[in-house]
Amino acid sequence: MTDPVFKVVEELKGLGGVVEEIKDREVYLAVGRDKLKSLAKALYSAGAYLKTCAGIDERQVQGVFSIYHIFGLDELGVDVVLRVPVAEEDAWVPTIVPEVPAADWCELEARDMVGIEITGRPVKRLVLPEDWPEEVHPLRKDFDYSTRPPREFRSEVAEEVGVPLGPYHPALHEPEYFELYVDGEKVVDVAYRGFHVHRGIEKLAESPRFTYKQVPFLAERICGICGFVHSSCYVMAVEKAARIEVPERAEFIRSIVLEVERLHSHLLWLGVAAHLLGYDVGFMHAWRIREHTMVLAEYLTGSRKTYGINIIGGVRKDLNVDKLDKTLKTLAIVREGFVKLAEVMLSVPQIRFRASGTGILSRSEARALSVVGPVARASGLYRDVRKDYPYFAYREASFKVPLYTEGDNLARLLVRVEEILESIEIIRQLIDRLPGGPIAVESWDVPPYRRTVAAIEAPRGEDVHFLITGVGKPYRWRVRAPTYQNIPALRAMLRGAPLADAPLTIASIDPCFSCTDRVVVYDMRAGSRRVLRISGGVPPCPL
Amino acid sequence: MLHSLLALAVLLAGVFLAPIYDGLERKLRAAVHTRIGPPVLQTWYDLVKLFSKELIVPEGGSWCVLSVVLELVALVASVALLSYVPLTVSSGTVGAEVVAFIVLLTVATALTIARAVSQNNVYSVVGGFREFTLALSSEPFLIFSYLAIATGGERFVLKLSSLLILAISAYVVSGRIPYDIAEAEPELSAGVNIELAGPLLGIATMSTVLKRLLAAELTAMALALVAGFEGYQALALALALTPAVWVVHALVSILLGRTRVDIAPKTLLLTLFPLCVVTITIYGLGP
Repeated sequence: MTDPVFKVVEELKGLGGVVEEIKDREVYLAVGRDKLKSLAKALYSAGAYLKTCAGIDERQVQGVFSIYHIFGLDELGVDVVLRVPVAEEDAWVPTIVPEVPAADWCELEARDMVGIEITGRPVKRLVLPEDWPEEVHPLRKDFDYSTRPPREFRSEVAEEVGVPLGPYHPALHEPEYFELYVDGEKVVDVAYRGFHVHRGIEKLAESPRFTYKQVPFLAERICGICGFVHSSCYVMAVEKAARIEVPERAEFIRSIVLEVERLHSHLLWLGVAAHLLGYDVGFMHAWRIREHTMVLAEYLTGSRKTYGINIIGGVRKDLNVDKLDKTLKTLAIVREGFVKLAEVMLSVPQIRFRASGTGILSRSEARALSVVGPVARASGLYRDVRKDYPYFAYREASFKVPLYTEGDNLARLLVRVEEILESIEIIRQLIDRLPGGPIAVESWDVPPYRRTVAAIEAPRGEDVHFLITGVGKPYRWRVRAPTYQNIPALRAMLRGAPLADAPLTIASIDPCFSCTDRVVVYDMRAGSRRVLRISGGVPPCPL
Repeated sequence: MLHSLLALAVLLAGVFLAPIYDGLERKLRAAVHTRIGPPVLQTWYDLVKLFSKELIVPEGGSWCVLSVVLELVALVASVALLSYVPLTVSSGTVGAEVVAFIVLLTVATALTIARAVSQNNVYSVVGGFREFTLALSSEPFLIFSYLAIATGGERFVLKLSSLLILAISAYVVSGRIPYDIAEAEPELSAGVNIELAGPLLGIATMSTVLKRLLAAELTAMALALVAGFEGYQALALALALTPAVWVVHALVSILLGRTRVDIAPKTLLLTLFPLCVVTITIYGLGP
């Protein structure tokens, strides 16, 4: 433990925290409910970001429910986890939202999924649908994955009708629902409703049908754009927990594929942003260039998307000389095309005018909400997991983290433009230094009840997986995607801004949502709304 | 009588050709996008398909249907009346046909706005107000420049400044990017047209295409008049130049992004108002 970490830990011990475990770059402290707020405040004051929190049913191993607040001291590269155990018959914890606003959603999620009450704040349903029974909490261990509880219909209170933006985003064509309250063309307030199809992936991973080996393929299906990030984060968590020494070559291959994924994701976003601003030439050419990265991904992994090469202890596919040569040639084509596109696109007056000074997220707001990725970096926060908590082969690569202070849509666009060029350089460097040797360990074993935090820099920002190992499969696997952390910032970005900028601002966080099977129906005459479930299956995913 | 027959022929040709010009625009757009794009007749195929669909009347009921149809009628009549312009200008007076053309063009816009704001749909209402803002920032200038060219005599500088005003305001009236804000798909999901489907959407689409034809023809005619042509010669040249102007309009829209509702009127007023002042000054100085 380094001196600065030692100091932080000593301070937390002084405030009532009991050190449970210190390993590598993770510190676990048990905290009483009465001490939680002061410890959270101390950590936040010390510069920590809240990565996420997780409600966990630990009755089988500890006899209690627990809520884990996971903080990251980015400057030190250390995770500090506060665990608050609570008895089943008295399952409540005080909120830390006044001290750490970023805890808003994860507290509500813990309340929904595990049934730990959060006191001292207004509560509402975040993840579970409105017709889910009140006392049924799906992440409790005594709730079987295949259970389908009876629905409880509750009519919603009539609300003032604003401008409904969704359930399909007009630009991204994904299911999220923003209710914009406007005064003329000016947005005065924003309400968000997401989680239209919570797929229960965390619960599924705990079910008997899944084992450690199978979960990477489930994790990769969390997202249709940055799925490799999720499978990488999961295998990293297991490897950390089980102390598996992954071959260096496998770490390089993972890093290369992660950067290919970043390239295609950023180019996709750039095209969407151009389309939103009416510049379809930019849209088409961004996606034309992106196609090269998709073909490259298929060449390297066998799939354009959902690569499926991650396994615990390594990867399934090796890179040979031909593949490396082709990768370098493709990167040259992508770079040349992209540099031209960026130059032309950024010279279009409407792109500059409309992106500049709109959707502003100040540094203090970004800090309070612990936003991640390009959103954070565009608001002056130097946050990048690849630098702060180096993993895989990123230690071997030299790259710049783009940083802007304006916090507007243009800054977020410029961050991504620069990141595309940086990613190309990272891949080149990694190919140049690719070591030989095996690509996976031959055997491994995962001891039960070990805890670990893993994080990877996804195209949209920090992706966090918190894992408690079980027997043959995870005991608890908590996934916090980057969009989860960035959406709450949209309220600050949209309030007071023109309605015309709302789609671009929403898209500027590069949101990622899952497919929907529900719609919100407005009765315009009565001024009320209700939520329906479409029977007969889920519409196909657009991505 | 002869001219009436000619006007009818111009009208029929215009109605037939406008969707084909639109198809050409789509091909051109596709070429810049490095796509193959739809066939040149695709806009006609779309219209035929829309007219074959079931008639769905929006909440506005008969008023909505009436306004959509009347808008198309006004635009069709405008296309017919436009062919009278060269003759009127040659005579040096503002004829009844010219006045009728201006009135019909304005009525068509007014009908779009009235239909949009009467819908029980926030996107439609917002689109209607955006159309109103654009109309206020462009149509008075279009009418002004049109009258200046029609009555300005032989002064080239006056004609040139009027032509500039007309070219810009006619482009805005055509409803293309960056001034497609009343429909802006990513922002308003079709805005003024959001409640239309089937044959009604077909009529509205035809109106949009005819508006673009008018914008191109008007600019082409102004070019012919400024170049010194008169009467039937000017009309023939204008009709020949129309596809070329359409292509220029298409290229401008392809290479630019969408403006914002608060920026559009400012940009237009800051550009068109000084040009109007110059034109009026030249006009006042006399020959």
